[in-house]
Amino acid sequence: MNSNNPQFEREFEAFLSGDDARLDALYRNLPQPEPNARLDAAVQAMARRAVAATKSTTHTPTRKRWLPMLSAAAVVTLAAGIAFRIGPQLWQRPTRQPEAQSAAVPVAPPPAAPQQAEPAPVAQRAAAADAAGAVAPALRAPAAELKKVENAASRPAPRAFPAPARTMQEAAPPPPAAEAKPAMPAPAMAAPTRAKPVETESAGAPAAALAAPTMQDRNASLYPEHWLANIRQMLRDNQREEALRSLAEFRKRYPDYHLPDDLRNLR
Amino acid sequence: MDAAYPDEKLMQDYARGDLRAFDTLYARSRGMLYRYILRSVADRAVADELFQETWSRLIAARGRYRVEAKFTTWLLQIAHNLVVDHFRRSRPQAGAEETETVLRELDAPEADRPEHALSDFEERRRLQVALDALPTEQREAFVLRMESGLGLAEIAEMTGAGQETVKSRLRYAFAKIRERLAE
Repeated sequence: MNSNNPQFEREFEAFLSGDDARLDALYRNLPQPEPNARLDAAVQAMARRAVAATKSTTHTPTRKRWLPMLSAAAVVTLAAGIAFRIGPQLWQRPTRQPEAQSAAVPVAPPPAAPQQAEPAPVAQRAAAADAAGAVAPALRAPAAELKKVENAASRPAPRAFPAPARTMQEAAPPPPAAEAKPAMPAPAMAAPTRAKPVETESAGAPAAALAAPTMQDRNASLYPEHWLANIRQMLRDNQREEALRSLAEFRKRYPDYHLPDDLRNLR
Repeated sequence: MDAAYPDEKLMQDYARGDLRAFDTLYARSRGMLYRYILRSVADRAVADELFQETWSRLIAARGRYRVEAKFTTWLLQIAHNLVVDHFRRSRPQAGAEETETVLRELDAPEADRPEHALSDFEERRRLQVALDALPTEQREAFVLRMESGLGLAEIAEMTGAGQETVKSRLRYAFAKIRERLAE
């Protein structure tokens, strides 16, 4: 080759550095073929299709992002609608009980001294004439009632009704122990403290006497309308005393409830 | 689009969906790319096919383009790979008859001075014949140097060869062309 020719080396270095004007001009004078119009159109169409496809695919995730949000909104709306339709029935009991309890709070004795406040006879409490006198045992009742349930659960003797479940609705209303007591003779119930009757019951009270407070519990846990229906059933079953006691308890628990005509004047 | 606006920025703009950027980029690069391919394969139909395929691959890979790579090098590298694939599928080099056919098909620019037309035509023809007679790798290195002004390092990067190898190819190509033109 010409690698040893100094003239060649100079021309080659000029070529590498772009200074070979003659060769460059000759090359530029070669035919300068270019892509035809059809080829240009095909390439530019490819470029446009690619961009359009990219835009359409980038829009899809946006729609996908909105779908869960729309679904969640639809579920919330549906749930709100159902709650609006059914809610008043479900909330009727819980909303009324706090009213009764909050009304009783100012006059409630301190929880530390329940037994000192106890000496009032059960018969007097059952009369329920004095509102203040009735509220105090009502507030103390849950502890005693709970004890009764615990005792009943551990007791092997059969019961008329199973011990009620301690759900919030059932545990919250404090069914007064007074309602269980009238089944016993008044003199025997005047003296003992709240704990004593429980021992008495567990020591061998008749099954009917045990069943009475359980029935009261069950009524107290019912909706007012169902409670009143049970009272009517008692009247039909010639259990007038039970019905009157239950009605008196109902009046204490729901003082603002507008009783139906057939029960309003029942004494 | 501003002529000073670099190709690399245009490519990035197109990757973000700017079609005007692509049009500008295409207008700047189409002739250079087409001539590189046509002078490499010496067949207009094959050149058309490879030219379109080169742009197709560029469009498909636009999201992966990084501005660190010079756009022209990147574009020519895609074309180079396609040309190499083409030669692998066919014989490595066009014959003399095919070269003459290509020369006849190519549109020659009008001569400025009629009295020099014959000698100009003869020089161009000799250069074209010399180019077509070069081995593929030497011709490719020469065309890349002349057509797109790439330096040794860029040609080496594009073709995957060492710089000394590229320089050697260019030396052989230059010597053969010089010899043919001096006849």
